[in-house]
Amino acid sequence: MANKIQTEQLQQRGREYKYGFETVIEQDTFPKGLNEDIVRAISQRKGEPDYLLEFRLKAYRWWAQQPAPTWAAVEFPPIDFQDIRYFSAPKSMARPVNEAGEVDPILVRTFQRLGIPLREQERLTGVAVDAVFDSVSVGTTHQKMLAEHGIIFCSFSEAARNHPELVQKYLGSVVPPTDNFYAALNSAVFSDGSFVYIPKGVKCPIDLSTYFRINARETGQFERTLIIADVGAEVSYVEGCTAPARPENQLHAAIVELIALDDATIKYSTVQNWYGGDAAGRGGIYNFVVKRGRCAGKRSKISWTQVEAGAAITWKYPSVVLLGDDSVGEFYSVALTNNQMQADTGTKMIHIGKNTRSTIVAKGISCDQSKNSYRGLVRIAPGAENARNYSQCDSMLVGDKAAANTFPYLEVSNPSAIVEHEATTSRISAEQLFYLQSRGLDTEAAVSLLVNGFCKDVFKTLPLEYMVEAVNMLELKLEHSIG
Amino acid sequence: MKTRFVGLGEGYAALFNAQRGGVLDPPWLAGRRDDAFARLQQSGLPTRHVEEWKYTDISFLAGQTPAAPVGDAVAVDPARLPMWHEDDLNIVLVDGRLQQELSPALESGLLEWARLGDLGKNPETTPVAAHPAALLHAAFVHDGVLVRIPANAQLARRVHILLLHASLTPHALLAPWVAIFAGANSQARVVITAYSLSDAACLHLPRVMVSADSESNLAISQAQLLNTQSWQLATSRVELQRDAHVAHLEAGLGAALARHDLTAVLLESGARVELNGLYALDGKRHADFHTLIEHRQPNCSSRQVYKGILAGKAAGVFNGAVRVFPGASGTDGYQLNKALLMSREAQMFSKPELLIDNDDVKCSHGATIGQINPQELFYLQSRGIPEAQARHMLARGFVEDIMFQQGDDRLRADLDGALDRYFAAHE
Repeated sequence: MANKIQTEQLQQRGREYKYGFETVIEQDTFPKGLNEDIVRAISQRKGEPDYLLEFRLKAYRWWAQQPAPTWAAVEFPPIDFQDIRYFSAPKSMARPVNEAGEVDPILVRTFQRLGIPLREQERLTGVAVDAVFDSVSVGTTHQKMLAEHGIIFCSFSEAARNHPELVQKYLGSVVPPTDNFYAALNSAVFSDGSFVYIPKGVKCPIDLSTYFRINARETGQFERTLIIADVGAEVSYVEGCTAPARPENQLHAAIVELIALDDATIKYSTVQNWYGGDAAGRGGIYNFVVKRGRCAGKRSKISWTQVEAGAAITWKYPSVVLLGDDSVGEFYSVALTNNQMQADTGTKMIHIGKNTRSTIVAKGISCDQSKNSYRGLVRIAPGAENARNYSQCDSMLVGDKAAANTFPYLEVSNPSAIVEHEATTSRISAEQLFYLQSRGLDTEAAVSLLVNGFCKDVFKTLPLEYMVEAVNMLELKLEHSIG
Repeated sequence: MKTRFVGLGEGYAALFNAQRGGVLDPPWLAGRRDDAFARLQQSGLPTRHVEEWKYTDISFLAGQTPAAPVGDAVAVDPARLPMWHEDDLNIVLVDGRLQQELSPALESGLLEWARLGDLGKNPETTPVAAHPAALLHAAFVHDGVLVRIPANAQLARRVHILLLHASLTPHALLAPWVAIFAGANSQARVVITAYSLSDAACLHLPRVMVSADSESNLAISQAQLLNTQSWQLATSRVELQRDAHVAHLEAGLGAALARHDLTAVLLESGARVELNGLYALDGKRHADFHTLIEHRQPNCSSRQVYKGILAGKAAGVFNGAVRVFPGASGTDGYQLNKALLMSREAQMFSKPELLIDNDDVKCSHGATIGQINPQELFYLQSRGIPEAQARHMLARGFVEDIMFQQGDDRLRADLDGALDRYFAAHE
């Protein structure tokens, strides 16, 4: 008995969510509820031009007519959208932040605890960061150096003010405001996010990244990311996210739009570690995100890598529309669920151009009583001559109450296409575990080794620092999951 | 808002009422019929906005006026049917009704049998599913036959159940019911063939229920050879008890639109099921195969291979789900779907699903969609075989292994004949 209690305590500690703290800071928060006035107020607060307000209102009006979708293999009580605050920003943000990074020291410390240094001189890694705290961007590093290359990397609000021609041209061009329920919600109330423009022929010299932090209670985070890689440009972009551990659920509904013109390459990596709720399934973030890229140009390439290890519910499908001839789409995903987390995630590869190619590698790991579903679409349009797709979806089950589902959709309307899909579901091989244990590894180390091997194809596509983080994150989550 | 369901046209109610007065149902069947029709009238038929019907549109059927197959029918001469073999145990249903005079097997003494209307209780173990094909069948079923293979019997002769469409009435609605119960430790081969003698379009709604008792060994084949005007919405359910083995094969070679929902339920441990399917489509034909295998108990295995050839503007759909229930440890599940696109406008939609609620499993699935390998084609042409013929050889080879799965040479020869006709139409 004593032993059992000890084990349970160990489990508690092992699974402690180290980003679960809350920053005490004076916040300026909107009242609960959503209506046209709130939408106008958000737009006004951000000092937006009229076209953005119109964009928001149009999205809001459409959204208000729509029922919330329920088709995903996830279960949660209906969300009361009038019980959410749609804007929250630290009061100190009312003052303009200067280029030297004179951010409120409380925020600097918060991001420091999260491992995100906002002061450039303290930074060791070669990554430029845009840090988003609830509804606002609190600082973007390396802007000056990037500007020398002609690269624009700033918060979305800044972009809307300083680069209206780009924003107007591309905003909503990949994910239209009426694309789906949560896309419309985001389009109506999005508060901040990152904007990236890589000019013709420029290879971005460092990785760009955004770090999203939810802090305030009862709020939702609705950010928007827009990345444009002009002809021949190249960029690698990484996002990370965390939130305080709280017993209630919070909604995160973001949109990411990527546009790659001729010969451009965008690599988008996500290490998602939102709070996933406790062992009893209380609390955690609802992560309902629309991510889509358009390979608009010939020979363009968009590559998504995601490591989904957090959030009470994950519901997202980073997709690529392969419009340009010879364009390439990739999706590499590891989704790990434990406790009572639920994930319904995958991708869509829409082949329209000729000789387009796509690769899907999805690894799902479900532990404890969690539920992990892969859902993916590969569509070959009638004109997509010689399109090629390869998909591989593997699920690993850890614990006899875990569930793993696979829902691939293959739609082929061109005979020259070659589409291949493979999926497997199994638990960790007892033989492999036994072998490693016989060589002196304890159960946990053995499991961790096997899981890392299982995810290797995905991890190796991450930038190095993030790969290390992803491996650590997985190990932490897997601790004591093996009985 | 998207329209998810469309209401049934009045023709269905008129036919239902006319038929309801004309048949003398036992009480369980009458109640089941009324309940199904009430549910159907409430739900209507799904449009493509319903996930399960995403790739197959049957909503147009709601606006049709279905007819009773009365009077004018093509005369049935079984000896002239393409899949007829005199020494099979033949059972014939014409336009949904059992024809005892054409069914010598019933008097052979080798089988126990009953006519549906004479059964004192429902042979089905589950209520009618909330599925348009199941509801339509339950509401309109005319007649059917239950065949029982006695325990320990080893049937040397095949059982062949023919579901013939002979009515010349356009839009005749035919709803036959076939139940096959294999006793413990029995062994049998059953072939169920749906075949059109008439050129008129019919709405064929067959229901097949198979129950394999412990340690029985069944080979069940379903061949669909309706004329290319007709529509078929078929539902089948196969239940397996302890250590039972069922090898199921289906061949979809006819009909303008054919949908088959096939469920196999592994009810006790040690059961094994194989589902194999092949289809060959051309013109504007559409075939949709929905399979669901339920692993409910430990140590069961399932294997599933579906292959199809699509020419013209044909569209194929494969939606295969393997569901493993929480207690079903030691499950072994395998599923493969392959499709060959032979023309520019052919389409294939494949959705292989795994739904796993147990960690002690080994499940996998694969799907491929592609065209004839140009190198293989080149090779055959280089040996002097004309292109069209070479393409047919390769396409036939692509699906032919499915026919060998059943170990039934007679069936294989019959299906080969049907494939001959399919390829001949393309020359």
